Amino acid sequence: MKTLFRNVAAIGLLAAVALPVEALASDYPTQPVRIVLPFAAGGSTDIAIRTFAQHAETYLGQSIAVENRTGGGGGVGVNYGVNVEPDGYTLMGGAIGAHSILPAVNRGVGYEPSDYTPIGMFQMNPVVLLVLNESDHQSLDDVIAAIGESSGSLSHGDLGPGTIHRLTFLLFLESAGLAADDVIYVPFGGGADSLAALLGGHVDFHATNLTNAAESLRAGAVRALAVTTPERVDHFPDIPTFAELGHPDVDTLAWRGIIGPNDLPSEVVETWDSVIRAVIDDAEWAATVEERGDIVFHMGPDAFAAFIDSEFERYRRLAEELDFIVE
Amino acid sequence: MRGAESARGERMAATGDRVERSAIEKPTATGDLVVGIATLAIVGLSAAIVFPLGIFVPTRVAWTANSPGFFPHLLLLAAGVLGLLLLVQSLRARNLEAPSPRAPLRIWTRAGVTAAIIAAYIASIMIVGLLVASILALAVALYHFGERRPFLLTSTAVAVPLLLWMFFVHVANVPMPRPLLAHWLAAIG
Amino acid sequence: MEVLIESFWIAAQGSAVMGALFGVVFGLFIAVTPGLTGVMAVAIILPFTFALDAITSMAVLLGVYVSAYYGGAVTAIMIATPGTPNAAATVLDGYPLCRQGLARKALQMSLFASVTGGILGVFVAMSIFPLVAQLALRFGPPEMFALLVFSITVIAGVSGASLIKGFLAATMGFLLSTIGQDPIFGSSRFVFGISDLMGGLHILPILIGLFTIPELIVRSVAGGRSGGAGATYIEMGPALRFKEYIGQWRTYLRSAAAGSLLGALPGIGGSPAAFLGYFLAQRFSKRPELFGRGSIEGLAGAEAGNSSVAGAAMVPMMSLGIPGGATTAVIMGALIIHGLTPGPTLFATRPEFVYSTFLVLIMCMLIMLFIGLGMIRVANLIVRIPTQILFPAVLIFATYGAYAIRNSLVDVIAMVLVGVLGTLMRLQAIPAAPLAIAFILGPFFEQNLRRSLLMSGGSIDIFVRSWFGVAFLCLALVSAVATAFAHRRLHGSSRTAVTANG
Repeated sequence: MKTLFRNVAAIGLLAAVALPVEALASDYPTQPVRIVLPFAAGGSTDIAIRTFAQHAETYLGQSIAVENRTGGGGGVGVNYGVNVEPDGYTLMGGAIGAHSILPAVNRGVGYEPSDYTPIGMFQMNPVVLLVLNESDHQSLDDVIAAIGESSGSLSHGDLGPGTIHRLTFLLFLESAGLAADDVIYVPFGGGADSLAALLGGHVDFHATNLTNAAESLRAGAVRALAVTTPERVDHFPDIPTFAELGHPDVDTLAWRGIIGPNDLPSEVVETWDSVIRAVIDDAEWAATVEERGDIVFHMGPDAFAAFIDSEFERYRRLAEELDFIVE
Repeated sequence: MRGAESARGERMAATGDRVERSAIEKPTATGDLVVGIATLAIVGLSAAIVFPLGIFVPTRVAWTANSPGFFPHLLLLAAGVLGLLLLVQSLRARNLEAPSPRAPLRIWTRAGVTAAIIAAYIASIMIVGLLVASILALAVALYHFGERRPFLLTSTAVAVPLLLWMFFVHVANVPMPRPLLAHWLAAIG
Repeated sequence: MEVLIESFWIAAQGSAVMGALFGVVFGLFIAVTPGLTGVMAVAIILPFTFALDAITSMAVLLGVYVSAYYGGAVTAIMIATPGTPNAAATVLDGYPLCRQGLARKALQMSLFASVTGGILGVFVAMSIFPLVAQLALRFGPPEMFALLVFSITVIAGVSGASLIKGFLAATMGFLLSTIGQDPIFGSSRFVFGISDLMGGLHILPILIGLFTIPELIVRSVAGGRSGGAGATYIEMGPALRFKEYIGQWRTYLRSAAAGSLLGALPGIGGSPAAFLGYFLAQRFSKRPELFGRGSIEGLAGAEAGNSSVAGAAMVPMMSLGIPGGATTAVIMGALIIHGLTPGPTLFATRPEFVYSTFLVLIMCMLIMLFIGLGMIRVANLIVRIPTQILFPAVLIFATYGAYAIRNSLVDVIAMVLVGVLGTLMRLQAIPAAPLAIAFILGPFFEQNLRRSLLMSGGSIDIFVRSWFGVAFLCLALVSAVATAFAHRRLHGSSRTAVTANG
């Protein structure tokens, strides 16, 4: 299997060449823009989108209101966002969980990637596998050995079924030649309570976004055994990658971007494409993102759409292979 | 008038008297019997139809704590037991109960009309939008609650929904629902 | 100590005081409006704080945050409509007090109790906060479940004359809480293709349906008089006496203890603490029979309980970087955007900032006391409105609120359906409060039960493997037995209770 990241890079490069940056000649936007976010306020996606929106306002020339429409693992917000008037004044904060994985694992959710228009991606979010700092498991190999000997008494907690974190851990087990049943799975509701469960010693392993764990990592409370990026993350150079530890298939990366409903006027897409490019070039924004453990990563509309399609197909296939289907 | 009411309030607080019940709040053992039977009927209906349709339980997790049906079925069991207990208890209490006078029909009609106004209000939101529906509903409700002065009635009916609307849309930044009617008109024109 | 003094000066800056003042005024304004909650208030104000420096914007946000714990009480007392979910327990005794012509007393008691409980809560959080944080971490799923079992015994306290009816109502509340996405397995339950239902029902439309709509229908029965002399008004009544306030000091302490514990656990929030505070007040009251019919003690217990969460909820955020609830999560996001990431690093490097946060909280509560007293004067205007105009207007108010909470008509429809249910329940004296509690605690109850069973492979001894689990289950047992005895003393045997109602 080719790594996801290489695919992404190739598509991104193609798109950059193919799409000339057009000059903006339109009166959009003439009023504030609403960004509907399918996740709760204060979560890592919320903070990422709000930070982005705060910087994007300058380049858009209009204020941006972020509105959290939560529930159903993101399904409520996306169902709303794909059905709004396509006038460019209501867009969605896009994230892998709600836009790509959820429809792949839950057929009943009511939408697919073909029901929305990707406008641009601006960051990728690595997933890390964590243990407590005082844990006996010093390395990924320790974990694999321990799981093998434990006869199913060790436990893994994360942000819930049908999330990229669950998928990451399942891919890891598969790559290590272990079965899903070898580890007790304890699903939690979000980044905060699942991290608290690890800190309190109620679960042995925890897969989460690097951003959720950054503070605890810096404080030395937890240890990250591996990260899903192809290369080590600049701000966390001590965390080895799954690939260098011999698990190249564990390459799940979350992403965040701006997504609109179908049938958007082309000027809206163009305006936002240039806004996203401008924010990407904003050094202050980039520094904030990297400080938090995310990776600045840009994709334009076409590359982003192609990427989501290929990713959606992959997750749909994986969901069936790993018996991950929810409904 | 107001002074007398206030004095009554003081006395009530001091003696721990219950707030005066309205004429329709008269629980009876027969009523409990109906609640018990209704509970059991709903439990049966849920077990037979609503739960199988509403909860998807994959075979690999059936009968485990991981099953989405685990907790709802526990609750259904509890509801069944409680319904049965209420049924038995009310059957025994019915014999001891003194017959109580029923509230006059006029009072039930008034309560029914209030409920109907609320239902019509909610239904009309979808057709004419929240603002217009609220103005209409408030006018009717004011009349029903006994307000008869035409100027006060109309001005309140218009002002309250409009001011609230402006507060929500402009201060709190909440987008309010747009009427389907507007979409239909747009589709025609 | 030096750190404390330094943080005092940070908090006492003019700009911070102004920020707190603005935050409190705005927060109260939002919180008295049903449908606009503390989370939304913080989210609305957030963009305006970006331009301010860190401590000023913190003061604004904390002002909004604190007032959200109290503001909902005003509408709960005056028009039986909790302005925020935090006021769910306030309506139980606050509204009966208002109907007895004691609105002023109720409003003042709720404000004083709120501020007292809130400040006590901050002191608890500030003095033992590393300990509280560690304690909160000890609560894994089995311990949480044991704590919830204990909290569920509250239901018996608000069941009224019949325990069977109380638990029947609670079962309904639990069942309503299962609508939406299953938190453990991830599939949808009882959604039937309505995508807005995937997120489940919201507590606020349920509260309005349970308390406001039945009240409207019941009150409409008495109508038919036009204006002038026949009109009825809400009575403000006499003011709260200092003795009445200070006489409740044990209630404030108990509620603050309950709120500090519940508030430090991630995700629980203010309303369970309010119910627990209410329950404790009833448990230790000399006049438990007044609860639910207009008990000043119950009101104090509920309001002190929810406000004392304010301090505790900051603890996991400040010490671990884990937000305790939705509102604190938004505040945490704001701090991160300001370059201050709450967590162990911040506490180690800038402890003065952490302590000044707590001091700002106390300052906000004191400001709230004065603004709140002003608000009670404004309530004087409400009582000039004859009820025949006020109650129809409440219907509009409640509907706007039910819609605004998530911009969804599904919530409005849920409000009306629950309203029908609530009215039928009221006609047959089935208590509404157990349904509300069960609905609020339902998701936590289910998730922690199922998580625990997943962890243990299905065996139930997991609940007694830790001392916390054993302790809370014992407490639950003691509480259940004591409540059952108290109930029998109060209402007699269940058979006579039914007839006594008739």
